Amino acid sequence: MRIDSLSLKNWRNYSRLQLGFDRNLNIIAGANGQGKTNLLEAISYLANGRSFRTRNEDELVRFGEINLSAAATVKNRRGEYKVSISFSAPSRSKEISVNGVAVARSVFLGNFNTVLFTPGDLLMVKGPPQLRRRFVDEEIIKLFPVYEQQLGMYHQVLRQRNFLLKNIRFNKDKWSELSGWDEQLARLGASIMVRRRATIHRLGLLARLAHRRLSGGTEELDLGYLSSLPVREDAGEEETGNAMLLALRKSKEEELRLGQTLVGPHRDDLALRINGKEARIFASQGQLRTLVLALKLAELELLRAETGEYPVLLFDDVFSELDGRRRQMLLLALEGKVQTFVSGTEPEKIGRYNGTCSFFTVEGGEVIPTEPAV
Amino acid sequence: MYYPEPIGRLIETFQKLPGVGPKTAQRLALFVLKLPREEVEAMARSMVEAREKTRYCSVCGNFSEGEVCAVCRDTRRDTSVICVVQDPRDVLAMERMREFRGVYHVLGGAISPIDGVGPDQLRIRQLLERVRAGKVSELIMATNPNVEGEATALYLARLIKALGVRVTRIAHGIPVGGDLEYADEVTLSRALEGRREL
Repeated sequence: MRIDSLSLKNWRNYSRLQLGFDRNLNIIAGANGQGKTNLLEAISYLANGRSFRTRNEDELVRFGEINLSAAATVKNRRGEYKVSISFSAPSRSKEISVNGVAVARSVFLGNFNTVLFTPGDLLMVKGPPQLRRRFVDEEIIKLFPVYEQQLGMYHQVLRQRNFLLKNIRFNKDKWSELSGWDEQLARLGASIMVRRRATIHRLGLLARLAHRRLSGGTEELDLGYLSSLPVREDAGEEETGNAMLLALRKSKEEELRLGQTLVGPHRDDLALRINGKEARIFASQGQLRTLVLALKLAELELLRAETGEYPVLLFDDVFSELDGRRRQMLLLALEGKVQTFVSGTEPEKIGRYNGTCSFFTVEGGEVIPTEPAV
Repeated sequence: MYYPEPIGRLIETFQKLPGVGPKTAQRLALFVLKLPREEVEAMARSMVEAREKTRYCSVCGNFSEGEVCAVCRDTRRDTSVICVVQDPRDVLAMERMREFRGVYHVLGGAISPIDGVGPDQLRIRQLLERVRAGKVSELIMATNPNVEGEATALYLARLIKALGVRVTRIAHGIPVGGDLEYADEVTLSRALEGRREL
């Protein structure tokens, strides 16, 4: 799938913008603070129905204006679509439409997918487990939109249960009240854990292949699901749910003392190992970049396996962090298959590249198509 | 924008109403200022009267004019089946259906530790008394299909099954007469879980 054109009105620092893109590679250059990321954010917004930088849509509206609109012509294997989103700050109303017809966000998703790689993704390997959980969860949401609501319900149950645990500690509530929450926590939690385990397994196989290519076959990447719950690898939802109920019963004393729920998917982690060693502890800066890139490429392949076509790949300011050899290898691997957007402070030296390519220079909210600087 | 104190206070009062934000509250308050004095008094009186004269059925907790509500007084109703709901509004919804011949029990909310609502804040003791008094064969849990409603239903089911009474839960699924394509994914997946043999 690909995006052929983009038009923006009052989006971040752009007052009005109309752009056409290359089907292969688009390079967006410009100094810091000129609006490179804002451009990629708009593309991602039109794929996901929300921004990857903020949940507060007021921030997306150009300073001094009250409403924004973003639209794109996208092409996937089913045909060509015009997707658009408009947001009005005073009434906080947002309208998502496909071919001019207003639709629910869930209908909108899937017409156009993106995989985004930002400098923030590099923090995932060494950062707290929640970053790695979010990576896995966002992947699952792209494949199964229902998962997002399940996750929301799970966290609602979790909040209620933690509150109740504190109340019980102060004798404001009774033990018996836990039952209604435990059962829901186990049912929703089991479904999340089974989904995560399956996704990590598939992602792991694809990431290992990508990593082997990127590292020249010298390193083996291995993904694993670290669960707080002792349960068999291939346990189904029912078995996992029962195991979770049992574990909740066992840890009750401890949970009461701490006033928080100690078992469940909110405690899980994604293990990343290079040649059997924990990347979180041992990975060098170079290994870290290769690892995250391999994960992103695996994401790309997983989406293709599920939807039948490659999503659009967005590199926000990270391309230049890769060394020349990896950049070259990456572009060759993507050429003709994946529409790619690369942003950076300097026009990237892309070296030998045979495919078509467009260059843009961003300056203070204006985008100027420019000649390539090879 | 600053209003003289009495208007400011009126705006704050309206803002306490559900679904009313600062702007609507301001509009309502300015509207009230323009009304004739008698109408404003009548409005205030109807609020106080509604508050004072509304009673709750001593059996089921539904709205009532007298000690016992119309449903509980109706001798044709089957008192062995009790439908447990969160709110008197839910009774009205069930009654509009004109299908259900049993009686009701209004809990007055759902268990929600965050909001400080536990079993003691709901009419659960009264429900247990009704069940213990005998002659109840089935309890239908019709609490809302969200995590709090579900937690309440599960909690009650445990208590009541121990008394040897059958407990059922209403199904969640696709609205009848609607189109499948308009149903949200969670509802659809619940509906799929609850499918039955044809």
